[in-house]
Amino acid sequence: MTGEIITKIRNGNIDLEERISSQMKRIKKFHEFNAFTSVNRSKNINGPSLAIKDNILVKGMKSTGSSKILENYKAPYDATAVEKIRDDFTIIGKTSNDSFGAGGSGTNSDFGPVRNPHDKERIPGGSSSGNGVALALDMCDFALGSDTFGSVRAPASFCGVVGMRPTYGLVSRYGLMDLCMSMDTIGPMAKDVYGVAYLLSKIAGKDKRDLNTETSNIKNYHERLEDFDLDKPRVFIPKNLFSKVDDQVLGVVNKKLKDLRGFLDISRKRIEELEYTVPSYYLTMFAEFSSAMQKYDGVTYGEREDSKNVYGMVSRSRDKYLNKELKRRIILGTYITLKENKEKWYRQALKGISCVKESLNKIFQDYDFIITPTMPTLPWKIHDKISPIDEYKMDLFTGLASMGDLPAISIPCGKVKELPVGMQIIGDKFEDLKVLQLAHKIEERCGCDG
Amino acid sequence: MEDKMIEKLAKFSKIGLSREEIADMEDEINSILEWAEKLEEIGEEWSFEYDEKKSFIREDEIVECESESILNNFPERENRFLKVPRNL
Repeated sequence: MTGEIITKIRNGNIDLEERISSQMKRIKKFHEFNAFTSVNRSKNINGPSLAIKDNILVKGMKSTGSSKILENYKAPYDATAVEKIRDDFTIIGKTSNDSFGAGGSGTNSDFGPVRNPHDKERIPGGSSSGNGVALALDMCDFALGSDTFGSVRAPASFCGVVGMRPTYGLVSRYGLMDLCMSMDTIGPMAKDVYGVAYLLSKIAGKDKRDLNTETSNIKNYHERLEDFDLDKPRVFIPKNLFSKVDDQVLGVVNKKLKDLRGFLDISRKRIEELEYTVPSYYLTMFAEFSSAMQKYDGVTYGEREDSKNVYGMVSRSRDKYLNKELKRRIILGTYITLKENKEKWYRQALKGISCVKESLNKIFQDYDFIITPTMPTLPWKIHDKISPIDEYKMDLFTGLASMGDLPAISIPCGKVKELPVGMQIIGDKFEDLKVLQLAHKIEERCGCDG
Repeated sequence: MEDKMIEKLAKFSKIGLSREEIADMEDEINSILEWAEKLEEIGEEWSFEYDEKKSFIREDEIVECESESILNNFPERENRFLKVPRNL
């Protein structure tokens, strides 16, 4: 689907101006879904349309992170990933997200909740929420999101599109607002695996402004999707984590795995240590987030409230412009990094990460992939009261890849009534191509809707 | 964690929280910490792994920049200077 569009654009068989104008009209038509925080009115048309999450900097455009504290911030430079693709895509607008990526539902944007494209009373998943909605409602062809603990994959799953977290270090984070910098990644989203592979090919690569990036020998992922050389891939299923999945979701995923039985060599085993994933991440993220957020003080960055002295100005600005979820995370991060608490909380969380990483390394000694549902439940209703812990627990599966710096993709694998269910494929470090190839193979067998 | 502690942490974090916000946050913070206590099960055999690769400091480098685009983001300015309240 995306491949055909790219070819037609290249051969001049699509009137690009008309296509983008019709997508702009759809943005207006589906305004109530709240997918965009701003739309690019410039007349520069360079290629297929691309939506960019609002926590990624695009020079000259508002980059708010969907937070009121940056409501009027215009980025003075491009994120590296944006710089790399400027000439090949038409940036159609900036998309809404949970403020600073802090959330998994899409309801924590300061500019209103983002709505699920298949049932507007439900959440679209987050934090790259607007991207999932924009793709599902055909407001754009590609989208660039960020994924720390599932923020590309969760909305891909709940909106019925494809989203990938690349190996940590494959894509530069320069120009991405920090959430938890030791795990933050920029990841591609599209309507199919080809689209994700195409966008990844454009943004991957070493960047001297992000020293965690590494050179990849693979250049054009999209051109190598058919070269899958594993005869019967060995797949690991974390049995103990599957017991926490909603029955309807489990039914869809298990049916898909049953359909793929002849093609995949599947083993289901318990690994108890994987259960440390979610609490280890959240404590680590609180610590890193509270530090990263110090710069939003009304001086270095952000909106300002007046006061007679600097302390009052900073404190009043942060109080007024940071939302409750952000404040809670900052308070918790400050608490667990206090000298007297560090050992009990922060260091214990880092031990938890080591423990989960070790378990993942062992899995990849014997298996090629881990497959799970992307999300353990269906998207809940926007107005449902859900506790922070219950929301954090939704990252049960997506968090695995983040813990191990591993590549992972979410592809549609079926539906419960009108709601899409996503399947996650995790690969070993820098095996991004293999992950894309298996996803493509499954997509070919089952179709883009799963 | 008690409300006094939240108040202290808010001060450290330079966030002015109201009484209501503190009361609202107290239960949630305590349940999150209680939930995270699961990590106490992790034994002494696991060490904290310091990932040196994730902690680079890059060399400073002078790059071309349109300073006006930075100055325009200042909440308050005087000519080319960022304006803040008196500190002393």
